[in-house]
Amino acid sequence: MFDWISWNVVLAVIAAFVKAFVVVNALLVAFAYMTLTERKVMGRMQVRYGPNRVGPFGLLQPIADGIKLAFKEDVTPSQANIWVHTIAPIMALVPALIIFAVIPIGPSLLIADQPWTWYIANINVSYLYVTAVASLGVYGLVLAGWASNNKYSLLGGLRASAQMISYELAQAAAALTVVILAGSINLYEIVEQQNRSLIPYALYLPVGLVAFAVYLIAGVAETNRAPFDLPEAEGELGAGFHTEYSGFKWSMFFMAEYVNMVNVSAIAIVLFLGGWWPAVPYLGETVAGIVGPIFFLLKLALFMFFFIWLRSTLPRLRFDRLMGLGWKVLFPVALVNLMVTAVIVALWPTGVWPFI
Amino acid sequence: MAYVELKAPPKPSNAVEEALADFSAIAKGLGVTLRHMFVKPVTMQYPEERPELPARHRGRHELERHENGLERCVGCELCALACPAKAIFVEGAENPPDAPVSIGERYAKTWIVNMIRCIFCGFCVEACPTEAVQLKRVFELADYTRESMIYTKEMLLAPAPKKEPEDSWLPGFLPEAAKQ
Amino acid sequence: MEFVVFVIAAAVAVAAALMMVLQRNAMYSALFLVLTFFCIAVFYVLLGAFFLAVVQVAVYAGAIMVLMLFVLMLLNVAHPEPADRRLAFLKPFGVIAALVLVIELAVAVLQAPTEPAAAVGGAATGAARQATPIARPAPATPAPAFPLPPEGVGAAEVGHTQALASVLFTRFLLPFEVTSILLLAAILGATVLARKRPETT
Repeated sequence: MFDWISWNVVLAVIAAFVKAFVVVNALLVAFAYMTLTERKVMGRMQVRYGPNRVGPFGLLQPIADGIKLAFKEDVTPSQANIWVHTIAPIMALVPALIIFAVIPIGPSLLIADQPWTWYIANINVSYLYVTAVASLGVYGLVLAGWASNNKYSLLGGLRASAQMISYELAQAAAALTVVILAGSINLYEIVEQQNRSLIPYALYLPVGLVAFAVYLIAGVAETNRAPFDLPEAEGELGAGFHTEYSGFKWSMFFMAEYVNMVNVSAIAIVLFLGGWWPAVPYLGETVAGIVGPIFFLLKLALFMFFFIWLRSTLPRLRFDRLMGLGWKVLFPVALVNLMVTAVIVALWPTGVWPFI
Repeated sequence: MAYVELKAPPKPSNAVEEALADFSAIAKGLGVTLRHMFVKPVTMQYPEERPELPARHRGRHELERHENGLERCVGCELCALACPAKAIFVEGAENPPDAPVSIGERYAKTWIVNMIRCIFCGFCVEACPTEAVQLKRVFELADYTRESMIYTKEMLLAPAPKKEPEDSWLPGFLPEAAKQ
Repeated sequence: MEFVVFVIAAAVAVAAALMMVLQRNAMYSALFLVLTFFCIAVFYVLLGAFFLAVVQVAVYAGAIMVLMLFVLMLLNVAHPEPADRRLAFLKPFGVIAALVLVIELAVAVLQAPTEPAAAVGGAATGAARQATPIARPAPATPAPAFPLPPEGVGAAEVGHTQALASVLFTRFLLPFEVTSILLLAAILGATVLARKRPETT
């Protein structure tokens, strides 16, 4: 009856579960410490220290915050739609967490004749999976805004949906440039291509660089981070879609935001910066298999710093300018860039770097 | 920090110039924030680092003494009269002739200030004919109960007779910080 | 295991579809429709059509339903009104249309070939779950710098993306392009309708 069970399958399933467990926990720990890092870095940029009281250098601050949020009263407005109000934070967080399943953070290698991979799943359409799941994240925000039965929340939810749908297009068009260059929508294959050609796609002038810039700007807008944090603009909307949230549900929105930052950065690294790029062509297979993820994480840290840096520098956009930027600047630029890339690839299929 | 002189940037003539101007402005802003990351924070680490308060800071009251150790307060209640918040209560009494508390005929038997009411205006200091009431640089007055916010004479009385009042606002007695 | 997943997904799909129709609150209907889309995406995954599954989620759940929610929120249908009496005469037509659809589906299902279809045609219907390699069309230009996935990979491995693309751009090119033009016309129409009249501004 159970003859379809083979030990390899069982092992693979167990490995996938363990990896998923590790990744989800790593993402949540990364979220916790991102909040601390953000507060400390922004503090230094504003010529102050940031949290430094709880534990040495304030390192226990996220734990204190977590305990506080877990024990805080979870208020649901009496006129709110209880069911939707409850599932909205879950619908925001879950897509953010499951995106990372397809992101390869290191090159595959053989350990004692057993294949070891640095991803949970390697599906053939992994980039499309990412866009599909990422586009689900907007439900959490929209439903939170609607279910709170609060004008400010509703406006925040509307802004979130309009903004995220608009910037998704530019983001996808920029990513498709890379898909054309690599000839694959498999994220692992895209990284392999860059490592094989020794140059990450961001350095493919000019199309790669333009696509990278568009992707980055659209990515910041997708994660609702400053200067595109219109959905939660505290000066105009209270706190936007999460005005009526407190306690653990509130913290779930923040987990979603920070995990999304990690996701956008990781995908940008995979698509444009060659993932574990300097490791594979120069360090050899085995070393790269172990050091590769470190390169990846270093790049990820740089991206995280960039997000914080942007937030502490730029003021928030006005909403019509935000939509104008998305539709009238980023999307056309990305589309023209995509067409140019397609023409170049059709004319010189072997590549003519650096002007590919 | 020096003031930054603001100049209106030249108006860009076309879209490319405008985009370049925008990007350079963003880069400039990013440069400013990055530079400030390496500026020493101005935050005072309060419980370990103490603030250097100005000499005429109006904090908690103190009842001064003469140099010979006798209290300056003569229980005249002028401070209580001057107090706009009615925070001070004074009850005077005759000085015992054998063991005088103050210099004059009378002394303050009770001198109570309610720190919840006090607005630190300093009128009591101005009203005092003997310069007995002073507002000192003690500022950590927070507490948990209303009762503990009522400061009695025992709590406010200057501790020991000193050679010279180190903290008086009077000319000639200014501390080093105030002289500069 | 596939069977178990299928049964669960099918049960949820049917339940969600029923809830969608029976809900009075349009917001709930929209949410249950999203759930139905998810279950259909699960079916696609079970059939090995990852591309269709992902596109199903991205396009229907991720884009179209979000826009529907957007409209519902703007119209603020928190308190649904009873159905308009003037439109009551449409009910029999709805029943008839539903019956016709059911009959059509039944006929289509009963007449469907039980044998897996040919590789290319099967890819379009998502029925080619067997591991026969798809004949990869020769690329128009040799592309060493931008290689296609390796040869000899089964249909389930490729996820039907290539098969779908080759069918879409050869056999079904005309419908594909007509659809594009239809969408373009819709976009233009929306733009014209949304544009402010010159005399009113």
